[in-house]
Amino acid sequence: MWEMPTPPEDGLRVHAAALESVANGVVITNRDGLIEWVNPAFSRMTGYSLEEVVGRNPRILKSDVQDRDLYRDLWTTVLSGAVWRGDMVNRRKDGTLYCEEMTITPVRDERGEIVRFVAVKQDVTERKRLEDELRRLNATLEEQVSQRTAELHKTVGELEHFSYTITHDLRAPLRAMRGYAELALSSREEAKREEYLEKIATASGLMDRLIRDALDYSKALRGELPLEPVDADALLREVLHSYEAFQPPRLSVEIEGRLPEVVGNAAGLTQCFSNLLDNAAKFARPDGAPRVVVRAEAGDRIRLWFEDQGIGIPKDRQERIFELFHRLHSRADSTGIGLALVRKVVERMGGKVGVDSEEGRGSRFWLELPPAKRG
Amino acid sequence: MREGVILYVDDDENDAFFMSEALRQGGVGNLLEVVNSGEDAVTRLSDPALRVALLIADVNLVGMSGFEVLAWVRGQARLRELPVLLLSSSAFEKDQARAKDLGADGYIVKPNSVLELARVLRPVVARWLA
Repeated sequence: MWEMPTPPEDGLRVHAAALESVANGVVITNRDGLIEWVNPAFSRMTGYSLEEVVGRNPRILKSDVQDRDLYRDLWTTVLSGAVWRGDMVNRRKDGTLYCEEMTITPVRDERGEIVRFVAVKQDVTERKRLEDELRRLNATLEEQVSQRTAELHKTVGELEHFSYTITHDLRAPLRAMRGYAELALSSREEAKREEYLEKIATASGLMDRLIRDALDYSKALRGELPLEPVDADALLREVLHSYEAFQPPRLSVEIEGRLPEVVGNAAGLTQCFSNLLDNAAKFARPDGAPRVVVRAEAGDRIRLWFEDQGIGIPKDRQERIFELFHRLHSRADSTGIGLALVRKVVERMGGKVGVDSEEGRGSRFWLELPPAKRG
Repeated sequence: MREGVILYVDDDENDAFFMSEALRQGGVGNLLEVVNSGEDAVTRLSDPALRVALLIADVNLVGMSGFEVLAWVRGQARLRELPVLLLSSSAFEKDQARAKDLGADGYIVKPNSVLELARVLRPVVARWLA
């Protein structure tokens, strides 16, 4: 049975009591590094009792996390008589790792020979964890900031493009109104004047449409779009019922089967449906009655198809058709906003939109949304 | 008066009408032929039988742009000397510089008035059609 070394002087009993009760782990070893004594804080930290470690090398705590250089540095330092300070990851008796901050002080005898080492340890696992967490959060934050900045740049670019083009596009009907007004004022022919007034009315209609579409688009960019289960079937039937433009003879719409419930926003979906139907009516082939078949394709997501037999879109133009102000046809009633709006709204609902088309044969537009889970 | 048609490329039918009015008011006797796409302009200009006195093209066209038509024209040996006027509804400096680089003979910002259009066209008519 090992006996606690007698302090060199009796007066040091107070010191011994202090070592016994401090919160830091204390280890005293002989010159060869074998443990002579540990305090209760050490046992709490490592799980080893005094009896278990006496006579053993502190190597029992070694975790293989640090490399050999650290131990070499430690021994070189303390054997030279200097104090070593450092952090170390060690292994508790139960196998778990912990991080400690340690100070090893060599103790000399009267002749100046190193006879013992005193190690004072503090468990800094929690502090390290918090530091790591903080570092990780910082990194995430920086990443988020740069991501947001990029998004912001993109939005600013989109806005610049938006204001440039809308100004440009609004000028065309304005020019028409002014031009025809001048001509009407200087014309002496009643029939001509009437024709010019007619043109002014048409141009003001286009201008109104442009402003309305632009407002819809900017609303789609920033308006609230809460997601909820939407009965796509009921919604589409309601749209068809409310707008004469989507009823025969202007457009005949056939819904195949029953469309399922999707997760989306009813107002947003209404905008998408009406824009797609509106296009089908507008870009019908001159020889055939405008007709659209709507059907759903179920999978992980619900894909709603809008198939027309209209004039179609050339393959090389299909990619750009959803771009803002990208017009495929120079029609007076085409603002180049409709499909951009559809894409923006669908994306904001977490979905996707696309087209599959053949020139002269018709277009198949689709939008994809998550299915509503049935409770 | 220089012979040949004035070929005008614009997909806005109102602007095409105003162009014909402005030219008429300016006393231009050349026939005005309007095409509404860059592709159609190229087709017309490829016809060796067509005598063109002046090409006026809108910059913003669906499909082939006015710039592209201009670049194509400058690449044709037969049409290298054809006067080309670009027209746009925006006074965007970059567009004006690009028109010049591509060898346009003029760049006009579409005015909001037919009378004004006739006025801006006056020097053009004097230079290229008189």
